[in-house]
Parts: sequence; structure tokens; C-alpha cells
Amino acid sequence: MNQPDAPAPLPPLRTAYGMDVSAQYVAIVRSQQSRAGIHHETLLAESTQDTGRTVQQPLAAIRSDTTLGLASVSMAMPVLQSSIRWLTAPFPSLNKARKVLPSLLDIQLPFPIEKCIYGFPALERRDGKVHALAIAAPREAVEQRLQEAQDWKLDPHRLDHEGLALWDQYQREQNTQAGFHVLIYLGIDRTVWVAGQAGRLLGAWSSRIGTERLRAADESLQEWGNRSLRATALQQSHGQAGEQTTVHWCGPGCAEEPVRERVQAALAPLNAEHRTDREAATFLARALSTRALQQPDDGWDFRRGPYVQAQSAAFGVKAQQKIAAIALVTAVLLLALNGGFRIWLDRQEAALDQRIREKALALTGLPRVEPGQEVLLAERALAEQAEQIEPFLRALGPSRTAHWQLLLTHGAVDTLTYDSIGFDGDTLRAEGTAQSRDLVEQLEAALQAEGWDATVQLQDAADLERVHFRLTARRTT
Amino acid sequence: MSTANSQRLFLLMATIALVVAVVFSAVQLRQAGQRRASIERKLDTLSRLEIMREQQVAWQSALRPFEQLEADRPPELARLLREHYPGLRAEVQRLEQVAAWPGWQVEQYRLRIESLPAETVGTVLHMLESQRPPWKLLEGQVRASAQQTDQVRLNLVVEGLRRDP
Repeated sequence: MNQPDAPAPLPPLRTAYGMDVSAQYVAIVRSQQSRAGIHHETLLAESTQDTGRTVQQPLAAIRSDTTLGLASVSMAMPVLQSSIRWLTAPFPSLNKARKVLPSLLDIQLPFPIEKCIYGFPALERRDGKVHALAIAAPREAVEQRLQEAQDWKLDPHRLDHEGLALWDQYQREQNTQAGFHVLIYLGIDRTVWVAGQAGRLLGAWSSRIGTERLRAADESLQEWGNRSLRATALQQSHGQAGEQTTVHWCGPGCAEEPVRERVQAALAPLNAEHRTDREAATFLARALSTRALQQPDDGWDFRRGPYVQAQSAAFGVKAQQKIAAIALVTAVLLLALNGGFRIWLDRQEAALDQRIREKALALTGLPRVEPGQEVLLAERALAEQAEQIEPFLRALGPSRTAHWQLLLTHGAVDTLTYDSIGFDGDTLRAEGTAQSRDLVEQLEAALQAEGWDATVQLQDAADLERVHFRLTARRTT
Repeated sequence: MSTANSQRLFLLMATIALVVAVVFSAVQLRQAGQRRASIERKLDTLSRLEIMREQQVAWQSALRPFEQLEADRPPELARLLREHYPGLRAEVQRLEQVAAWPGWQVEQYRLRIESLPAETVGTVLHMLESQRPPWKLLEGQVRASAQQTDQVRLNLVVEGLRRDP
């Protein structure tokens, strides 16, 4: 068994209409969300016998706003035509529980689950078990409710659950964390009871007895009272003894003071504190429009599966299309950016490789150079070429004959004679004799002035009264 | 195919495309460091090769004066001496020939003059130096002659560059 697909979330609109519609009564509230909060405006709250023309204007406003996509409309599936209850799966696994919950619900429903729209809007893990809030309504009932809306020429975006909506609104407006609470919707043609404790919905039930019947017959009041006390007691049995009970009244029937006092008196055994909502007549309509704007986590919509509203479906499709389009554009941009960058990088590297290859080929003179070997082969080629070019560089090097002339100039007189003069690369050598040490030292100084690192060894030659010298000069510049 | 299925298919394809794009981007990002290091290495290689190439080009420039010589071979030493110093007796001995730059050979010669007026040593050396290029004086030794005081012995090593025909 698969529950029908959840509907797409309503578009994020700032205006929603809630309609509390039954055979005897219609209330329309327009709620608008702003930074300051939600502002409610009652457009209509009348018995259907009195509506006549007065309902046309709000209906026209609704149709106009919804057609333009400016607002959504919510109605409620009555508790009378649906089921709401807690189920317990005796294990802590949520996934496992989800699989068995439909079966657990099926055995409790008075109608086959295959013919229902159902779901589990709340799941709790507590005491090693999974507790699920189950909501179901026969498809026929859903279709009938939608047909009723069509009779008003409306196509509501959302078909909420009456009990869930009432409890949700009650929690928004009142503190339900402490004590046992009973919210009673007193309608003209029905009554809805919703019980809760410590902020948790316990259950909802309904009766076709409303103020119309309560006005007329005491039997109805007794039946109503018995029903109320029985159901309340059942729910209260789950709570703590001695807990404060609060009964909160809402619904159009609250305006009929005598009826309300009588039903309140019927609940005397509860020993409860009674409160009446200040805008009781529009409580349900307000609840529906607020939930449409807030879209709470435990929100529920019977318009799912085959009953999804056309505008919502279209919105859902558009939302999906938008997401898909954004995803696709993002993907394309990412791919293009990365792909383009990669291609650019590849080209840069290829160009670098090409330049390296060309340089290596020019350096080595080889027909081919292995990638990764360029520097090594080029260094080898250059080392070989360094040896080969050496003679040419030598040939172009500075001439040394000028330095010979320096030596020969000093040796041109008898005072200084050479036995031998030699040169070898950047080295000059000379041996000979001189009349005095001074002459040799002058020669040494002259060479040093010309940028030679000259050293002289002197030895007196006693027999010739001359000085032997041995000169070595190396080029420093 | 129904509209709903088309929508689902479109969403699926878009999701796959996005996943592929994200994965591709992640891979690119991961490889970015490696690519950067690779490019830096190649730039360094290129820089080193360019420096070497500049050196090589400078060496090739050194060849130009030699390539512009009309003759492939340097003028004969003996002939040069005869032309400048007729009557001068000189002994020319070839020492070695080795390959130099591709297309060139280096030849070394020993030039011995046993008896040379001392005052002409400078001019002889100057004459030989003026043959650069292709000749180059490498070494030289001048010794006083044992027999005559105004004569010297000249012993030179000369290097010449010869172009292959």
C-alpha cells in the first residue's frame, strides 16, 4: 500500500483565504502575512440562509486573487467525514514503522484503505516505539467536498483536516503546554471536539449535533453531553490525575449564548475552566488561512495524488522546472568554466612544451629530444660546444704583443738584458740580468700598473756585479 | 511520454548534469595544484634553455669573423715569414690538428727561428698577431743566442682555424 504522493507546497504567497463552509454556515477570512505578522480580515461569517448576495463579493475577490495567482484558498475536510487517530508501531525504527503503519491503519478504519486518501503527518519516537498520527478520508468524501467547493465556483488549493487545523490554531493563540485541553467547535449543524495535552493533539471527533438541534430538543443536548463526556474521559485517561482541564469554545454556535450556556453546563462533570474565543465565529476559517500561509511541518492536505489542485500542481511543476533549469544552467556554466579553463591550460602547456622542444632542438642540433630530457641534453651539447668554441674565443682574445713591447722597452738598454722571455696564455715570464735591483723593481712596478700581478726573484751575481732576476707576471684584468 | 514523465526526465537529466559538473569541478580543483607545479617546472626548464640558447647565440656570433674570411685555410706561416722577412730561416712544425666547432678544425704549429736580430722580435710577433683571425699566438719564448749577442732564438706556438671545404 502506498500513500498518495504528497502535494507540492503552495506557492510562497502572502495572502490566503480560509473558508469554513458547511450546509448551514459560511465564514470567509482573508489573512495577509507581513513582517509585523499575520493580519486577519473577516469577509463573511453568516448562516447560509442569510448569505445570498453578501457572499458574492468575497467569492469574487477570492476567484480574482486566485486566478491571478495572488492568493490561495483553503477549506477543511470535516472530522465527520474523515478519521484521525494515533497508531503505535512496537519498534523504534522510523523506516520500519513507515512500512507497517498503513497496515495498522487499515485494520482500524471502517473503510478499505485502498479507497482512502491517507497519510501520517506526525511521527514520534518514544518509549522504544513509534507513534504516528494517522489521517484518512474516503476518496468519495474528498470528491464530494471538492464538488461542494465547485458549487461555490471555487477550486481550493488546500483541503486541510478540520481537527488538525482547529488544534493548530488553538496552539498558536493559547498556551497548551500545561494541563488537559478540549477545544469545542460549536457549529450550527455539527460539533467538533479536539483534545490535547501538554501541547500534543490526542484526538478529534465530531457529531452532527449543532446549535440547530441543540436549540430544539433536550434529547440532543443529552446525547451531546454524553458524547462529550465519554470522549473527553477517554482522552483524559491518558493524562495525569488531577490535571487542570480547559475547555475552549469556538465556532458560530458560540454567538447563541443560551445554547452555549446549556452545553457548557452539560460539561460540568469535567470541572473545567471554560473560555470562549474572542472571534469564535471565524476560528476555523482563520485556522485554515493561517496554515496555508505558515505551511507547518505537520501540515496536511487531502488534495494529493489524483486530487492535487491544478494551480498547485502547475506551481509544483514550475518549481521543479525552475530547479531543473537552474541546475542545468549551473551545470553548463560549471562545465563551460572548468572545461574552458582546462582547455586554456592545456593550450598553455602545449605552447610551453613546443617552445621547450624548439629551444632544445636548436641547442642540441638533434632531430628529436625526448620530453623531460631537454635540459640534460642541452647541457651536454653546450658543454661540448664550449670546448669547440674555445679556439675561436682565444683567437678573438686580446693581443699580448703590447705587453711584450713593455718588456722589450725596458730591455732595450744594456742596463737590463733578457736571457729569455716567454708568454703562455695570460702569463709572462722573463729571466735575465740587470745593473741594479731598482731597474728590475721599476719593471715590476710598470707591469703592475698595467694590470699584471708581477713577482720578481732577485739574486746577486757577484762576478758580473749585476743582479739576476726571474720575473713572473699573471694577467689580473 | 506523458508530461509528468517528461518533467521527471528533465529533472533527472539536470540533476545528473549538475552532479557531473560538480564532480568535474572537484577533480579540476584537485588537479589544480599539480597543473600549477607542472607549469612552473616547464617555465623553469624554458628559462634555463633560454639562458643556454643565449650563450649559444653569443658563441655563434664569435664565429662570424671567421665565417667572413675568404679563404678556408689560414695563410701558410712559412710563406708569411718569407714575404715579410726574406732570407729569414724558420722551421715550421705541425703539432696537432683537432676538430673544433662543426665545420672547423684547429691546427697548432711550432715556429722556430734559430737566429733573429733582437730588434726584429717585436715586429715578427706583431706581424704574426696581425694575422688574427685565423692565426693566434699561443706561446712564445725568446732566448738570447749563445753565439751572437744581438741575435735571439725565437720559439713560438701558433694556432690557426681552418674551415672544412
